Amino acid sequence: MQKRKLGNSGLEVSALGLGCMRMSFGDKLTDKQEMITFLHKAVERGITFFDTAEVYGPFTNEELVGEALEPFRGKVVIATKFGWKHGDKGPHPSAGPDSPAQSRSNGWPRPHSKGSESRLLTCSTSTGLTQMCQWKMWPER
Amino acid sequence: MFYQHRPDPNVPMEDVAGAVKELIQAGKVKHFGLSESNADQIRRAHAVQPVTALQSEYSIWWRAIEDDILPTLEELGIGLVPYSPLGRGYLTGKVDESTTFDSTDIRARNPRFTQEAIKANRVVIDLLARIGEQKGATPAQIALAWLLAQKPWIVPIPGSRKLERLDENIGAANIELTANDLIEIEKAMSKIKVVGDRY
Repeated sequence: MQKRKLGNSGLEVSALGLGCMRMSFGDKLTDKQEMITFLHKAVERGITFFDTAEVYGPFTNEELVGEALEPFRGKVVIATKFGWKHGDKGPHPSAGPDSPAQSRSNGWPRPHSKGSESRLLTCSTSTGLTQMCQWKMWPER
Repeated sequence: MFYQHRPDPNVPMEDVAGAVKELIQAGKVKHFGLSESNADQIRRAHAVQPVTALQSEYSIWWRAIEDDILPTLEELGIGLVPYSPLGRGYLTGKVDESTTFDSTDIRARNPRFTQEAIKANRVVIDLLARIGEQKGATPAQIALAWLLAQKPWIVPIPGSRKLERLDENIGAANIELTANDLIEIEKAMSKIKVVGDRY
């Protein structure tokens, strides 16, 4: 598949990415193993850009994407998102961002990213192993 | 890449960008993204930590970002990652008035998926199908090819859980719409009033 660059950042990804939300959220339930196999086939077809978010689940979609793409560490880019309330209204903009948790004085967005780190267990470049080591050094809060 | 999922009215963009900058410096994440932010918010965040991409809804039937967001992204060198590039499945042409949605399906409560909207917006599918016939492509492929043709720094992220649909989407990357095709689409779309809010 052709590649494209996202603006001036130098980040190069497949011309089409893959939205993963509904693999475990916002639709009928799917079999996790089936979705992992599906994600592997997407990589085989040249997709290198995968989209998830902390609020999808919450948490389970990041877990799925992280687990499925672990074997391709350094070869694919995972994009995730922070800062959406996991409220009882569910995944809707009217639920609004989780403002209190986002105050920088509360350490935001560190608690969120810490969670995303442990769920994703992978990262976007060939320095993946280094990053894993760094993640383990992240202080507990 | 680490996106702010939605702007928070209670937290300045500079603080958000500053917090992600620290994460990048610490090696926790590589790139900063925003989602559904306005031009001012993008500028303010970008001044603190360069933004790699904006993820916002953009497709042939939802083009609100063309007025001020796209020019801002171009000026600042920020990529665009359109979500719902196939209009939550509608632009595949596989949804009609008889389609029922499971209660867990987010479309069951979406204004563009009422029976009235599904019926009224069929003209968009007819257009995509007409262009598709000339290219040997499906409506979904034309919808994605249209997005790819807008700017070279656009990377749509259609969702899929079926190989057949994934392969169909991937096929869109090889479909080239000419300037004339784009003009034809533009003319036809200008006469269509899309029915239903996007949320």
